[in-house]
Amino acid sequence: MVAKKHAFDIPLKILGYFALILVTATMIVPFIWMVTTSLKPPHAVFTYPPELLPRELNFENYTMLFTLVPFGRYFVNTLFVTVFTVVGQIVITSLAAYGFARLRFIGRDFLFIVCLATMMVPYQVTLIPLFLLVFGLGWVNTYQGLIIPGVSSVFAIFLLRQAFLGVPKDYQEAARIDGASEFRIYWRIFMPLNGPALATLAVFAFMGTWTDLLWPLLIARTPDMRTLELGLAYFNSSTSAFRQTNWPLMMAASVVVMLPVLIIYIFAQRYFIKGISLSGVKG
Amino acid sequence: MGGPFLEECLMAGAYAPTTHTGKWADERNLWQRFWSRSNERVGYLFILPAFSHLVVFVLIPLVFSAYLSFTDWRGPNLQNAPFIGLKNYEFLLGDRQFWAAMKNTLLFTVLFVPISMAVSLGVAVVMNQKLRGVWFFRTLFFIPVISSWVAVSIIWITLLDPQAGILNYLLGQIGIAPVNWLGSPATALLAIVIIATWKGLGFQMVIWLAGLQAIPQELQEAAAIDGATRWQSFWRITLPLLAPTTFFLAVTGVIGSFQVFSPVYVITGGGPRGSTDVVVYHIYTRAFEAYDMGYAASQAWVLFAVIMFATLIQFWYRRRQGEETMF
Amino acid sequence: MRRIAPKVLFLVLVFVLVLPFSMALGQDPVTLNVVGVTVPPEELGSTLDLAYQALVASVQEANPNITVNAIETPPEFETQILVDLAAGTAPDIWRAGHAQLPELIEGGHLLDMRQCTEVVPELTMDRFVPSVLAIHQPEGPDGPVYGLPNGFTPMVFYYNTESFERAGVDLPTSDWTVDQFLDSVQRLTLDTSGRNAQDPAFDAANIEQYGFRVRKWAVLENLAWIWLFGGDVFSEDYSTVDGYLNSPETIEAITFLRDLVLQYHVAPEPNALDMMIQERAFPAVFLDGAVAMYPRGHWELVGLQLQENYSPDKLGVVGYPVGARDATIAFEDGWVINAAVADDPAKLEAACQFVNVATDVEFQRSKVETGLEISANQASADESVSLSAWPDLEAVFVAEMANVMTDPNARLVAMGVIEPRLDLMFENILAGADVTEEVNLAVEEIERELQR
Repeated sequence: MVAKKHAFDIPLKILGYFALILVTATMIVPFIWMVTTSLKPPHAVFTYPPELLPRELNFENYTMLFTLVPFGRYFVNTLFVTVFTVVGQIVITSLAAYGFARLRFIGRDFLFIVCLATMMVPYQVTLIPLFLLVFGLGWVNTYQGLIIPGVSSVFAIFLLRQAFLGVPKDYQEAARIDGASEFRIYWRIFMPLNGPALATLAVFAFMGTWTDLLWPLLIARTPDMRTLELGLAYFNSSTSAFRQTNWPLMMAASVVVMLPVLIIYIFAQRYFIKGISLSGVKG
Repeated sequence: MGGPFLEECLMAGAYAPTTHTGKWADERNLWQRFWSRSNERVGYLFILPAFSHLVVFVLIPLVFSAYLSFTDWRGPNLQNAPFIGLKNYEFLLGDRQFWAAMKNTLLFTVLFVPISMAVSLGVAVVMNQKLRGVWFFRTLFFIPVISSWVAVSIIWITLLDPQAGILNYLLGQIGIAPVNWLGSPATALLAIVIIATWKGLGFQMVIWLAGLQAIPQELQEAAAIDGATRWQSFWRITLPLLAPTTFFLAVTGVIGSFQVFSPVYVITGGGPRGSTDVVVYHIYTRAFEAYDMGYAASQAWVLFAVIMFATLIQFWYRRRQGEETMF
Repeated sequence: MRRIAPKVLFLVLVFVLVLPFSMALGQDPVTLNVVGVTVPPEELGSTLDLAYQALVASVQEANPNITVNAIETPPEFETQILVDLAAGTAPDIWRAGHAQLPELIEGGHLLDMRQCTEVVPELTMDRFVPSVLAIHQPEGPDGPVYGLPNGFTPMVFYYNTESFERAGVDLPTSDWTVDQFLDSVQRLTLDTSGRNAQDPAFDAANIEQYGFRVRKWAVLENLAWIWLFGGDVFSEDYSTVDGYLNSPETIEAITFLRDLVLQYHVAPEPNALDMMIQERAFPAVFLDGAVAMYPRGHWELVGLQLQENYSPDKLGVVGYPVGARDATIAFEDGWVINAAVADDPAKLEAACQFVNVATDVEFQRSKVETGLEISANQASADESVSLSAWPDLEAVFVAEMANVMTDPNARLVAMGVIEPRLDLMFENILAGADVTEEVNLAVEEIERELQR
């Protein structure tokens, strides 16, 4: 990778930075807005001109959230459910992706098309049948009810399959000649080589599970089973028509839900980079 | 699902030449082929966990919902669901509001997929120039991706506020009159496209970046030596080599935008004047607000057919481009 | 045979003697799952919260065998209850708005409350305001009663007395006519130079004070207008809209509303309204005098009170004007019991006891304190006029009950689809679309739905 440096003209580089900074601003300003709004009193949200920084720091919303919500319990629940879902997704979908990408067996493409086709049906449609099924299994208000339906995902299979397809054939061939089993090839060659795809998948699975609302809403029936997102959704859920939306409170709840995902992401980010530079081997 | 195409795909998969086996074309029956050495049966074991999960938690509910689409299931009580054959589908053909929603969805897809792919490719190309501190930008760009739709929607509702929103404030600084982004039928869908592009940028960019980094630098250097401008080498070399990535993003992008739901649900509720009433939102309101389950299921299956059709067109196009494998 | 007689007599005697005991002993502990007696976390400790707590406590006190399990109202409760009813995991009692009744009734999910009267004799129907109870009686006063009313509010006009003073317009009275209404709102609408909408030099582009507010909400705000013009949306049996929604009276009413916005400029256009209310809640804008009058229910009193610029003497309410009819619409929420409860006699009795306490005068008195709605308990509604912090306003609300007509949402399952269609029709019309054309389109599509 220590290839000869591109003959980069300075102006182009400056232009590149300028573009990046512009995009960064549009990416990041909304989040700054979210954090600062969560520190404003309700009536100070809409001012003209808009105030990106609050005049005074008002942590009331956070104290309210933390005192009224059994935060620790929700956090542990969410972590438990998320970790199992993510690990399950990585294992199950990467196995399938290897099968679909690198092994040839009768009916493979048909089965893959079946998988893909299920991606095309909106989730809301199967919601009730799925709930009836999980209910029939006796999994309402249990961790398995929260976890098991999410441990595989067709999108993840598709994503990893694309990544596995990019690994040169020679690797697989050589390992086979050495007498390695397919599982060994999958585990020792394909998994390490596809760090970025796996990290991407992990972050997606983490984020999807961590912030899911509808499914926990149906499954978690007692407060001790609630996830963070669900617990916070109880705020501002009053249906009385007279209530004004309390934007700062909602923003504060969003910040609280988002923070752990952000931390996990920053951690996984290192693997992204590692993985992306590793995948440079391909060329 | 489309019979002829399916067979074709199977054929393509089954008969495509590979390095280690050329025996697929022979005339032996299926049973013999199943036990032949060229059938890597261990593959079934690999897909077994994922596929059994799919059968139990996706296919069974799906089949059930397909059955529902032939019933007049209104309200939660399943016992009151008389079988009515194709009546739901007949009604659907003349349901103007449904087709209006389909049109909105199509418009969303046509706007969102190219815009988001182009913007994210542009950013990825800049990122790929080995600038200092790229990791920093990449980290930041990914934050919207990992935020929940609810959080993102709440943020943007306040940002797009016609009077006190930051966007209109900035536009006001350059002399543009305030726009009622979410309140005007002309701009609401566009606003959703912008928000969705913003949210998905980081993901698409990472996928593009992985594709870009897989392209050998020597190729571009060779092109530069041959006197090609950057622009030319991008169009002639980079873009064609990115085809698998483009294809992946296009297919998942189309499938995803046909199913766009969360931002509409949280931000606009289908309005103003029905301009953001997209199909999945339409189906959701039918099912969960009007308790019209059977009919909503039939709408979902029509949507499924449309998405399938759109996906098949993309596969067909890719095959016509001379790709041997399906995907 | 003679030998048997004493035995039978003995058995009967034992039975008669033991039965009351066994019934007393048979009061097994029952847990009732109830949704709708909690508040969101940030409202803990509020008047409403205390009222609910008192309700639960008094139910348990009066019936020591009952434990009330108050389930927090989940976000997206409407989705959840639907899934739960399909799976059989629904609560025993919950609060349901009148618009949810038809599908619940049609699905057979609601207990006929006459069964309760059998088990808990003191829970009689005569304690309720008859016009509100009627919402729960789709087959008329002699038919089944699905759920019992908790509270209600008729829609009325809120007006700002300062806006009236400023424009020199007399305050409205309950018998005002549509013409008087139009005259008032025209004179209430002032441009920045202080000219009103009747002035030939009136500047419609720079309006400082509007007379009224018109929005797209077909049922919430506009249906009462259609009624008072003598029109309707549905036929009596809800089987058709043709000849009703497109009747001359209905078209006249819709055109009138449209003209308030687009011709007389006495109500803000949708876009102008958006601009007006994004920064601040509408109640604050109203108290500031930007809009002199608007239709709303009882709950608005609470919202108005929360505003910084609130003062009680600014506030007045009056009924919709009188046209061919004196009409208004009411919104109601009630206690409904899951029909599945009837399988377990102990649970049935417990559930009926709960509703008995929840609809008696004592709990219902809390409505006066929370101010969200008026009690549907007749005695409680009557005393609320004197107990309320706004006796004059409360009297208007209570008097308006005589004019309430039944919301089609309480009768027609298909309203779930039809109401959004009607909203869309109004939205298009208020944005300038042709009235007759829009109405005919709506009639055509709604007719299809009804005939399905």
